[in-house]
Amino acid sequence: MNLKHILQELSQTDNTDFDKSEQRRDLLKSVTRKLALTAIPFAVGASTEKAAAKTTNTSLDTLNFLLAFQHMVAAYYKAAVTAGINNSLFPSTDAQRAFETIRDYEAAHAAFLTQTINAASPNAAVLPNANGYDYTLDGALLTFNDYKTMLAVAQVLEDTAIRVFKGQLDSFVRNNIVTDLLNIQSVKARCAAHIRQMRTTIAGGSAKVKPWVTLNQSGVANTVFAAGYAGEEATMQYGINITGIGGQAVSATAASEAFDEPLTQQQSMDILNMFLYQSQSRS
Amino acid sequence: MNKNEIFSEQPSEEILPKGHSRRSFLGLAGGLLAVGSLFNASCDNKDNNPNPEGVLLTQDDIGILNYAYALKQLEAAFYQKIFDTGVYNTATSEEIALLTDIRDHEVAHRELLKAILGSKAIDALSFNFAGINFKDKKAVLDTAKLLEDIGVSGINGVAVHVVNTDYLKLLGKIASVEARHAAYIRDLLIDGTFASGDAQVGMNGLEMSKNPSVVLAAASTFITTQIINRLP
Repeated sequence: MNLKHILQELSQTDNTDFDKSEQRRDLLKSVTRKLALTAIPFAVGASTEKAAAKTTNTSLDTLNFLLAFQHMVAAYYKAAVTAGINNSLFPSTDAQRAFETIRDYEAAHAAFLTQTINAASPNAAVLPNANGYDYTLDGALLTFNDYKTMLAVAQVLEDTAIRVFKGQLDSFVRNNIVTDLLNIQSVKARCAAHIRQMRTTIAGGSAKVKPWVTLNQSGVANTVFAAGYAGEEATMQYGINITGIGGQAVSATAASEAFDEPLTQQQSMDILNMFLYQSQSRS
Repeated sequence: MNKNEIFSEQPSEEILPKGHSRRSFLGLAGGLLAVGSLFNASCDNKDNNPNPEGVLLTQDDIGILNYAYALKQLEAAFYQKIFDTGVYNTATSEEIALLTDIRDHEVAHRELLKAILGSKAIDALSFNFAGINFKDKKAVLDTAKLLEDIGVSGINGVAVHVVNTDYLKLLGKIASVEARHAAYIRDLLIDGTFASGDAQVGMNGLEMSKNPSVVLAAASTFITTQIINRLP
């Protein structure tokens, strides 16, 4: 089944999807609560500690939020490599190797954040979602049975993760964590660019997804994934119009591509929750 | 990074990558690094008219933005030179289109930084690309790879010193696009080397960020204007 068919099918089941998105919203609330609860133990601890510790705990909450997202991304590539091998999806050893490379980087990012958080506060790091992750949008996508779909979801996760990490930079001004977050996001950006090229290659060039994000186009005609690209079409930076800036021939398209935009924590959580299983019965 | 210091407010010195000790020493000695001045002799670029007084990168946010502005001037000039010379013969239409995109992105970055800096912007730099055979794909892409990699690792390495939140966010927005460029260029050279090949990614899957002294030393091959580095 090719991507086009999947997307047509999705467009024909809009109402159903809407219902599901309502469910997802409820799910989001429950997960947000869950994360809030997870954060409480060390938040409570902070009140009994020195006042100076509060900043640290805010930072830990932020890092844990990033780690929760990172667990989801890392689990995707782990599952993708396994499914790619078991279901003979990879068209070449290069393709398999690329997925394995990215899997290893994503696992390393999760491990690094875990280590960083636990070094600051033992056992404070959040664990992967106990009920697992759903990358099929409730079975609507053949993510692990169709290579093009597997690549498309990989691209969405990678592009989105860059924006999620970018969105937390200002929580760590003049803190070494800034360097770590940037070093994580740029490796993800390298991976995203490669996944995008893989999509173009496998589609015989017809996918036309550039290594960078053009306007708010995902190259995936699935409205559910649009949230990962909302705002990417920005052509204003620092209150300055980039289109034609300085009398140069910079198009609106290039203006949007030249900057990756951050996502807020709420936007990030909304996206994360599209991929979380609510209960064990779903896995 | 020392795990016990991760939440400290004082950024510590980056650990310098091996193989750069001499350059790093030069950069650290007195905080002065006159880049490019040694390379003028081989220069045949008619645009070469180095300001004898050079440009100064101060230790504050303005200096950091000017540092980014200097790197962007270099990158934009390099990609423009590709098109002025005529793209290497084996380039596919997709390569030409995407290299055009990259040039436009670099011009956008350069012009934005210039606009933000206003009267505090350093002067336009002079460049020497005489050592590059622009008709040779590998020569062009090797240079592009170097410039994109230092573009990413340079921003990543200096952003911790930025005080102004808006500037920090802006550098973050630029850095990931630079990384996308770097990956594309690397894949053009050898497919699959988007995040590997020569240790651009280090432990923990992290990009190996670099100090300004290391980055400027690498850039000095192409910049003929003297740059006085007082960056943090």
